[in-house]
Amino acid sequence: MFLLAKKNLLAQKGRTILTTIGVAIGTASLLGILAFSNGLRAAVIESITSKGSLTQLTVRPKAGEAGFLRSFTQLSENSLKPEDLEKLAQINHVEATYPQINYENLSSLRVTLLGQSFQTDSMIFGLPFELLEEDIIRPEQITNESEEPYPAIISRRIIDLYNVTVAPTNSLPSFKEEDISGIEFIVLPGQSTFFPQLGSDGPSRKARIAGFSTKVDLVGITLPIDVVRQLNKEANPDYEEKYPKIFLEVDEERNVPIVAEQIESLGYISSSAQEEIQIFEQNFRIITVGLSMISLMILFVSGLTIANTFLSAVNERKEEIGILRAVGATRGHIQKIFLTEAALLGLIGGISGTIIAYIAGFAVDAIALASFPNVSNKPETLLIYDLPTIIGIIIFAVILSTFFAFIPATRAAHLKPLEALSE
Amino acid sequence: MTKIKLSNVSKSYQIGTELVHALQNISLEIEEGEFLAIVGPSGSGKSTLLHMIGGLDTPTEGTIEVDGLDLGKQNDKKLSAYRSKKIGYIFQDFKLQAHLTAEENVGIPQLFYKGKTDRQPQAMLKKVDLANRLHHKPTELSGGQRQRVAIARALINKPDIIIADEPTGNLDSLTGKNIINLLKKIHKEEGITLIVVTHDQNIAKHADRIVEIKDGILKKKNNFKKFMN
Repeated sequence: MFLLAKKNLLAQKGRTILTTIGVAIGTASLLGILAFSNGLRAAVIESITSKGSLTQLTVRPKAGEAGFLRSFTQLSENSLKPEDLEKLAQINHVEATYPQINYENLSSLRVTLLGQSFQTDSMIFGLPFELLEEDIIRPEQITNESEEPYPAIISRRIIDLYNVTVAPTNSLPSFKEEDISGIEFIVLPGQSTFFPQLGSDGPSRKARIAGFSTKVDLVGITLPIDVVRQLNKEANPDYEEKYPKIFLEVDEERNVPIVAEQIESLGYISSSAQEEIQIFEQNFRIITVGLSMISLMILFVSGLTIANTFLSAVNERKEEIGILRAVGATRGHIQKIFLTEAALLGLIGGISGTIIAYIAGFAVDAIALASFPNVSNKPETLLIYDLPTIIGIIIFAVILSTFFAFIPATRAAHLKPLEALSE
Repeated sequence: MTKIKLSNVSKSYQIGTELVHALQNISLEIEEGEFLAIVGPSGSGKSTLLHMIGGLDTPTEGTIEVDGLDLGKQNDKKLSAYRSKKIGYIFQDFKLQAHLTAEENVGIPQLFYKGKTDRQPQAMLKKVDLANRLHHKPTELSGGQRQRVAIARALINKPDIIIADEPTGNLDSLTGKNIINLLKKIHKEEGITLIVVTHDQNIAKHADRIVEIKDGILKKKNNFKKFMN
């Protein structure tokens, strides 16, 4: 029966090819959209998880965020306190706490880059470097030697910003992380180029870029928490530690929502990569469904073409149907022959569509990525094809073709043998 | 032994407002292994009778029994099984499928046959002297060869009855004669009941019995000599 269906399709090459193209276009567009969705989703999730693993949570005070201006003007009234840190550490499933502190004074940096020396104001943040272990490029430079420059971590995003906006507009070279890691610069605690009258003179310190992270704040450098604590004490002997945010490490991914709930009940705000991913997935699902609907419409139109093709075929092949009925074919056999032909069309169309999507995908991917800015988390591909989706789409094309051929096949099956023969 | 029994068979068609009586009150018994020729002018109802015996059509009145099976009472599926198992069809215009080879055309009935058959398309084509034309398509064969393929197709499921509707109608006289000899040989070798609708007296003269139908009415039942007289 399968061979007969195959022969029948081959006998009508032109029609078969045109119908197959219809199915292939529908399949290719559906697969392309799903591959793009997969690629985009993976890129966004990669970007989210780069800010913190799926077992990490960030806790902030509820009433307003201790942001840039608050820290800058030493008005961080809403920061978290050591007793908050203690409370958070006692929550079940919390394995570690990593508080962030700010240098609560003005500060600036003196940097020599590309042969040019310049000084600029900058925030200084302090974090336990255990949190940033994965981001430290030169761990050998992290020492407790007081003579050694402070190891500094800077935000990956600030380099991206420079490479995408500052460098091209000012004809400056772009930087790679490895180009600037290890560069030494001067930290000037208490000094300000923006508000010199508010500043105070203090001893300058050497620092060296030890790594890049997406976890650290954008506008400043991050030093080991003990260094910043010491700088704060030097600036203000009555310094009381405050934390604009605290990172928590939870024992298992599945416990993150439980911990988040407890944090909220204690009156804090929590955020996590898991939560961000959930929100993203919710919004993204709507987009994917919308795009898939367009592709399904294309496939639906292909299906209508199949229905039309088979309806014409039934009229043209009446004598053939009559012969088959005369030599013993039942209605079921006739229906099966037509449905097998449709399924074969769907299969060939589905496979061709997959190949088209792949080839077109490579081209689109190459063009799109070439025009994509050279940022640190630039995705390697915008299109991700996964085998279950490909198999699912091919099966879907087969089912759809068969579905749309059902009425013509049934009509063929119900032709009276004698009437069909006398055509 | 009676193989086919037609009792008071009538067939009417409605064409527009007119009721056409294709067959009227036909009663006929055909013996197992008999070679029966049905003759008569065009439009007399010969083919209608043949199609009803072959299970492609059903009578409006009366009964057709084949081996005791009342064809008028069978549903579509059972009639299909009957055609598959018991009947081998041979048409005037061969009715081969143009996109299939001779071998594939002969093998088609086997696709729908539920029983076991030890016959192979190659062997059947050899039987009709077309062993060297297995992979030829109908357009690559002469008229006589095409009809031989059709005969091989009719034989593939080892039917009890061969029904041939003007088997030489599209052939020249020499080729037609060869086809008649082939049908006669098969009839003799296989003991098949052979029913042939024909205008051709050369075929009719080989038949065990000839029946004539005129205006849907069975006129004569005789052997050739009596029929000619």
